[in-house]
Amino acid sequence: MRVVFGIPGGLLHPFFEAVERDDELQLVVTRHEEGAAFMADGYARVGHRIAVCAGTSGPGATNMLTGVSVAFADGVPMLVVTGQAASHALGKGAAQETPREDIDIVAMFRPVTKYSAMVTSPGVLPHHLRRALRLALSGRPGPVHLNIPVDIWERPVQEQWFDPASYRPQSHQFDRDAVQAASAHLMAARRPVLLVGAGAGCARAEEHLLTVAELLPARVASTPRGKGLFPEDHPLSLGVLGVAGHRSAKDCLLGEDVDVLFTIGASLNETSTFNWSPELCREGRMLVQCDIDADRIGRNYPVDVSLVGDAQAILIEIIYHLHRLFREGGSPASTWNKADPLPLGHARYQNPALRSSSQLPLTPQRWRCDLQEVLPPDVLVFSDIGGHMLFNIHHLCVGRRQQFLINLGFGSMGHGTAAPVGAALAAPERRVIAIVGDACFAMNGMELLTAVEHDIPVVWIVEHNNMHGIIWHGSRRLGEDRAMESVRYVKRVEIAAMARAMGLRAWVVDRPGQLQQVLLEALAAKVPALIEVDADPEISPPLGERARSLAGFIDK
Amino acid sequence: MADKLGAEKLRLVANSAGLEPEEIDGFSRWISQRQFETILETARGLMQNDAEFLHACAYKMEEGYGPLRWLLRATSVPMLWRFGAMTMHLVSTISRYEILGSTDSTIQVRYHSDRQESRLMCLSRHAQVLAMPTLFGLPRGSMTETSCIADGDPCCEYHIRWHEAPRMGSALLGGLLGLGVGATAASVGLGAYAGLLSLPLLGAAAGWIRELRRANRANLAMGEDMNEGLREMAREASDAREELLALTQRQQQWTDLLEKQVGDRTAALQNVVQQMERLKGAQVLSIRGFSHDMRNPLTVIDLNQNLLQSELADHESETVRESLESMSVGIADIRKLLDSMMESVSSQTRGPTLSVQEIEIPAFAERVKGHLKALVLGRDVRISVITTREAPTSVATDPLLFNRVVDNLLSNAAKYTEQGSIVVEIGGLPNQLCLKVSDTGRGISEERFEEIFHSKEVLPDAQIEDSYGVGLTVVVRLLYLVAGRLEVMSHPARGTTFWVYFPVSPPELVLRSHDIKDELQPDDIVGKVLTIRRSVS
Repeated sequence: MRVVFGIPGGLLHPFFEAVERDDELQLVVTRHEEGAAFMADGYARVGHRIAVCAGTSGPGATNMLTGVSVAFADGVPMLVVTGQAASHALGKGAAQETPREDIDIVAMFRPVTKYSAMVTSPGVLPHHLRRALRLALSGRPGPVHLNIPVDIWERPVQEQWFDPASYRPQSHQFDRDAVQAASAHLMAARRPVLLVGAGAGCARAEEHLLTVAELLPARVASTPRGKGLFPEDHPLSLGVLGVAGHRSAKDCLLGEDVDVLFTIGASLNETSTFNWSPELCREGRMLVQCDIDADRIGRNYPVDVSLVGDAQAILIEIIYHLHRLFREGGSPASTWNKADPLPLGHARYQNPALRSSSQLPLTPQRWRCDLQEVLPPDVLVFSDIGGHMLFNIHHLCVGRRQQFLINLGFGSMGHGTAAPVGAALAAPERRVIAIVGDACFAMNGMELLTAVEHDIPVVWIVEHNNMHGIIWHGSRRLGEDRAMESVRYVKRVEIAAMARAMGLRAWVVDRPGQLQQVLLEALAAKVPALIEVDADPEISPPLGERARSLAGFIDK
Repeated sequence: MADKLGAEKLRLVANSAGLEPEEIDGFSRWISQRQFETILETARGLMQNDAEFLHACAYKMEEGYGPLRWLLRATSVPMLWRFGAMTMHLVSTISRYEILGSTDSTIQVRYHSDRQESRLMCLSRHAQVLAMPTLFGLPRGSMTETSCIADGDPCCEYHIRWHEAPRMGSALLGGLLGLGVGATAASVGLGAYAGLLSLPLLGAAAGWIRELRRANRANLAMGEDMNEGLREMAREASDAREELLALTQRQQQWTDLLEKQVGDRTAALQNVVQQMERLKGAQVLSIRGFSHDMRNPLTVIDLNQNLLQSELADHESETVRESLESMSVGIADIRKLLDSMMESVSSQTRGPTLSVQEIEIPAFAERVKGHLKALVLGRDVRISVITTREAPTSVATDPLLFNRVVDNLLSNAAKYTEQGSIVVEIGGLPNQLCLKVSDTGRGISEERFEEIFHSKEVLPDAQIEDSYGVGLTVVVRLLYLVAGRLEVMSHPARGTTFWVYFPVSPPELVLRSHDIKDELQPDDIVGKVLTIRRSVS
């Protein structure tokens, strides 16, 4: 924990003052408290460690609620510190006070955190802090919130120091019998398939997944949030299942062949199950589900073998069991080696002709293909939420050491714009690229100033179609060609010009084949940079499943 | 050149630059500027004069553009210049055009190059830029050259002009005809103004219709040409796809072959290393044995010499006393010689001075995987290399020593595992890297381990009958240097698991490397460095 994100204010002033004085901490002052929460989220996702964001009492605290909700939905560990009026003045109408009997900030944070408490005296501060950190980091990680009246900071704390290991238990336990049974089922499966969710990424189990898949062999699909955890250019990769997913994954998993489906860190929610399609868990198919949260096991489908625990620990145990079975003379029953190879290259995607099209305006598919050619091998790609997200999920191919990050659990626009700043601070040795829409940029684009202020080298690629693409195209489908025109802006903003005015280096790309050179230049500069891509707004993103899903809700 | 002088001459030109004719004809590869200059020089030599050469430089230029030229016709000469300047990097990596300004029929450009270029090169470029208007059915242009790279200027600068007028030729002709008819009509009294105004317009309209008809015919021809071009492109794309497929298959075959060769070579190298280790061990043993064997009789001689010296100390003969003294010096020399031989052997065992470097664990894991894959190639052995989150991101140690320990364990695991599996787990404890190597090899009994390490003489492993062949004595001695530890659990005929612990940062590394000779005795190995875990049957 080396960075604190937030905006100082009177009722949290002592905290920020102490952070600023501490040589081992970096205070990153953002442009909005929501940006602070998003950046802390990005910092924790990439750094695999707890992040801290802070905002003063009142609006400073409520502004962080959306960002904290994102972290809660996606299981990101975060310590949120908010200010409060002095304890002796609470309830008396102090400026920006948020006491229990009025605007209760602790209660507001409770549904979106694992722990939310007000520290009422210096004596209980260590207790609250230990409890908050224990909960944030154990089991399914998540955000925790401490609300501290301003006078508490100035009073001495009489508490001995605790070694973190002494109060934060490792939660890598699992049911050994269940893992052994799962291994035997995988070994005996004729057509095993792994479905990888974002939980596998939280557990840093990417290499272990690859090992299990190759040992069997098993074909592997990912949920939209788990995209890229299994290399998508691998011969065993089926691509993404669900929203904006790939036909190869859908045909395989909704088809009849698969006899064992092993989900790892995937909660089988709407976006990855085609609106909870019954065919995903058809008669005769065994479902093995691994999740760190017991509450997510069997939530939507009946499970044959449930594995509650850390995905990495369980996969390592499965690898050992598979090797034990090999040593005992067994061999996997998988027949995937004899099946037809999966389509690779353009053939995997919808509308392959648009991926290599030289037409103008530039197609969203084509510039992503151009981008693909020059993506660094260890790049972190953030996607924001909107129409561009669907293109990103479908048309980007994420390789072995690359990483794709998206907040699809809560689905907040603007996260993919601000969170990369935190990610770049957590992993300065890696290149960070954020692909965002013009509407997302309009929501949280001012956080680019934070990157400029601290020289944080993120490259933002803004796909500019001058509208809320997912809404416009979605409404056209749902409304029988009566699109919602209000979300299509009449006036066009020059985003690259705005970025230049903010101090970023900026380019405009509007032709096929341009992006490669521009991106290489932007990455080489190692400064905050922005590339505005003028893309054809008429081309619909791959929202078929999402539209059908919404239609399903409406029908119901 | 082929049209004028025959295909052989074209081959001559290409060969002069070390190329085949297809290579300068098929957009298939880059050529160097030097090669380009050579081609131009040879071509000029073959042509009769400059005019012929320049003609050849832009000969049938429009055909070189294929169907694209019909698309280009929809643009204009200045637009073509801009397009050319933008895409220049596709045809040259050393030069570029800079457009300074343009009108409908003129353009001012600069040509920049990273290299010194000959005048011949510049002339060939002149021929091409002047021919550009011909792509639009216009006559060639003319130019004024204000600077030239060949003359030592920093760039070439051209003012190029061409005539757009011929495109309006038909209308102009019609207009003139109308004017003539109108003037004639006026002269015969048919109304001077009406004739002068209307008839030229009618004539111009007729001429324009004529031009439109011509353009229509040209469009039809263009459509046919484009279709043919597209069909040709489709055929080429299909051929390219097939070729790509064949190349992919060949690449896969090559990869398989390469992997096999790497595996064979690794096994051979491993064999050589082991042979050398054995030879070295045998050499050390021979020298130690020789030293030991020599010291015993030398001690006897020394004792006798001392006895004689005490008995004959007062001997009257000077020669006898000198001989005894000389014997004493000789014995001391032989002792020194044996000591220096032992010192030499000890320093070989100790190895070179250790140097600490940072070893990144992710890269190390990749190396282990590749190495193990090569070692078991062609055998029914499944391998897995897994890294846990507890593993440190790096360790600071001597890379040679580290690799020697790891390679020793890996190669033995691979060597004695004919079928089954090998698992390598890269994990960690606080401030330690823990490497677990587990195999289904032949295994070794607990007693054998005791025998190896409690033996009074450190025998080379090759001398232990039916040895596991690990070179364990070497491994534990190396681990001792970096304060590492080794744990082992094995069961004959079932397999062996080693746990190797390396500290994340090296404590007193250099000191250890100097003290090893006297500090680590065989009896100390078990306990200090090595732990033998009890196997569960």
